[in-house]
Amino acid sequence: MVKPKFMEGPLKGNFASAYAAMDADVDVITAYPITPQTTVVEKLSELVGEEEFTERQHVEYVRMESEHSVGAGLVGASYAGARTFTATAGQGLLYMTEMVHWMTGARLPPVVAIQTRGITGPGWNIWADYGDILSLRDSGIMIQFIASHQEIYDSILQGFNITEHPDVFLPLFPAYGGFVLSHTAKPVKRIPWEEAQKFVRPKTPEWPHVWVDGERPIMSNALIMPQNFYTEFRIKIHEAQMNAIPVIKDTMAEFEKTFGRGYGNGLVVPYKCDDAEVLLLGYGGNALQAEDAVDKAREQGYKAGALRLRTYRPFPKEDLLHYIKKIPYVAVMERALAFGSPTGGAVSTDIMAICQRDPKARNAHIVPFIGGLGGRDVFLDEQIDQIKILYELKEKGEVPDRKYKMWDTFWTGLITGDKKVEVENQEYFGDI
Amino acid sequence: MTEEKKNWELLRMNREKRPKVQNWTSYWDLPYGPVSLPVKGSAGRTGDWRTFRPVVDNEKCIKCYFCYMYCPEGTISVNDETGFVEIDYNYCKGCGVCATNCPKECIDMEKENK
Amino acid sequence: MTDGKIIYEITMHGRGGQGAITAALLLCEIAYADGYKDVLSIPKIGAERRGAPIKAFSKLSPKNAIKNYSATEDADITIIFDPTLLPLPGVADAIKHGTVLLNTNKDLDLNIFPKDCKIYTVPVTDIALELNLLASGYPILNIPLLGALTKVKYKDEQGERTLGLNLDTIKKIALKKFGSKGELNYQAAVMAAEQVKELR
Ligand code: SF4
Ligand code: SF4
Repeated sequence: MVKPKFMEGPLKGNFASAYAAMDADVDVITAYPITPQTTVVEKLSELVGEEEFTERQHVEYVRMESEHSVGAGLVGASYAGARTFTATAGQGLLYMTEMVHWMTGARLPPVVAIQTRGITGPGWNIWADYGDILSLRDSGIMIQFIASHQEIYDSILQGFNITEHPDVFLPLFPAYGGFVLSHTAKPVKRIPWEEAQKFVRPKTPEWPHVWVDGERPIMSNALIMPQNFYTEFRIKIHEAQMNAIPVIKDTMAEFEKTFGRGYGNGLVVPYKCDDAEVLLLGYGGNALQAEDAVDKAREQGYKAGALRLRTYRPFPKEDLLHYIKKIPYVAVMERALAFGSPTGGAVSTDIMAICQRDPKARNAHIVPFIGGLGGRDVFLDEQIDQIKILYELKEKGEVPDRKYKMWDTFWTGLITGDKKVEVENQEYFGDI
Repeated sequence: MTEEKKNWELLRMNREKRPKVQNWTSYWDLPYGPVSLPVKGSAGRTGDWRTFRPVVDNEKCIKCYFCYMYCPEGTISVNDETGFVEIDYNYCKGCGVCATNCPKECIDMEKENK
Repeated sequence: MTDGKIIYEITMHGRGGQGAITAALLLCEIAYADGYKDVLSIPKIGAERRGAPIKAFSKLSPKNAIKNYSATEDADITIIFDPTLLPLPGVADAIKHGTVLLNTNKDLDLNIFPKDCKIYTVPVTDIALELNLLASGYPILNIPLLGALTKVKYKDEQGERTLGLNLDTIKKIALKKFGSKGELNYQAAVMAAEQVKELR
């Protein structure tokens, strides 16, 4: 047995992805680089040839010529029963979109790590922004928001136990902030191979529903007439999403029991919610930072709690309602903008919808905040200000005004002209 | 082994246990995804559609099997013994693709006497 | 670790190619190996080219989990790889408190820093050139600067102390990371630790 080069220490988020895929015993990796994902596939291309791995597993690493082909390659390998993994971000994910729908339509179980980045229309941006993954919100994939480096590793390792579950068979896209997590380094512990294999689902030579077998050919993607079963097969995907809720919980519980660490119940992660009067709800790295904001605010006498949405699709309705019913003053902080939607935020819109359907939550105050787009830092003071806004609402009964509130949404960090802004890379802007 | 993992073992169906024919009557019968298993004549007796019938002149045939490759319905087969092509008139729909693609022009499209 | 400070925040100012980003990561690895509970290294990725100013950050926490991924605005320790960076906006003028460690072999006008800052200098470019510690023709500065950092002290209400980093740990990590060049890196770190000067 070769001694592993890395078992524990500060590790870049993208390397954590790469190690997790290897430790989850994937069979096929298709790859095409894009910022900020590049170091995932670079690291994987090294790992597949390293002795530690070659002596016990064979991984087919396939270089593709585009993300569309990466998706197609995953679909092909996955049909044949292979455990498949890739990573992409931003424009790459958009280019892969067609194949993502194929994965959900054919009910294939790959895991695809997303290093979220700003989508590039004019206004080029490569930094953290969940707009890319949320553009696939309705495609049938499962979406998780990851908040720390260790969690990246743990989530990908858990991923296949969820996607390959016979009640589910849907792809999982764990997403974490580009550069915020992908290029920063924090301590990560790898799980030794034998222990990891005991946890990870046993491999199968083929899936029960699709296979590649010359003697018994199948045809996937036949034309389904409107009067036949198209509607029903679409509902089947929704059913699988609903089935995934207990599966994600069970997987997290088993993981926590085995390895002694976990992330809430896998769906939401509460922090100091027991005696809280107001709630900061968010996802990703910002939501982890909200826990610091809660601690700081408590020093100043504000009884706040934080709730991190870890699984977005399927939407953990019951778990969210459980907390919202107890703490009816909720700030929803999002790092993505859904243009033209009721609040500007996909998550806050969803939360308002579930509150509306529950008589006990109908009177909860949901206050949408959007900020940190394209990788802008969201500072602790800004999050503490969110808590103060909730307290003002609680005391006065109406949402207070701020200069950065427009269309009933707070635009955290908005440049209002009150503070001098330092423009980096001035040469890009020149004399406009 | 958890209950769910046991189910998984059951689900790893061997070939014999897989359905031979898919008979869906409602939402609750459906498999995971829309997968079709090949059966002969899944669109019915398409032979009834024919106005012209392709007839092969074996004298001129050079056994290139272009017709076999081109037939959109897969109704042409190759006789293992003679090597000549044979058309299943129960399902040949009379489209004439085979006749158009035969390099020796040895497939005639004859009017059906219906 | 019994240090009362919650999290040390360290900012590195360098130029593209000098290794500031690697230094931030190496510092985290050293601190983690030396018993810090949580560490975080943040490279500030922009449109960088060789020679362009670059920032990188390390956060070192003796006891608590680090949950804040934002860049440091008010660093406890500022490490400057190149004295020509000082006049640029966001370098010397961004220092509000704490300790400064500067790579230079010259004297320094201390008035550009706030009154109660501790100031250290170390000539690591000279050391790297002397030892022929080069990467594609450029002197390697990161490990030597971290060597100097082991001797640098931080001061607050609770008194003065070093970060508690060890040269031995630097040696271990340099050998693991840089293979044949590790030993030379370590020598440079030792020399830097000897030559670091406390100006104030
Ligand atoms: S006429 Fe059309 S369907 Fe019939 S054998 Fe020729 S190609 Fe096939
Ligand atoms: S295409 Fe014509 S020549 Fe070729 S095998 Fe068919 S009938 Fe014969």
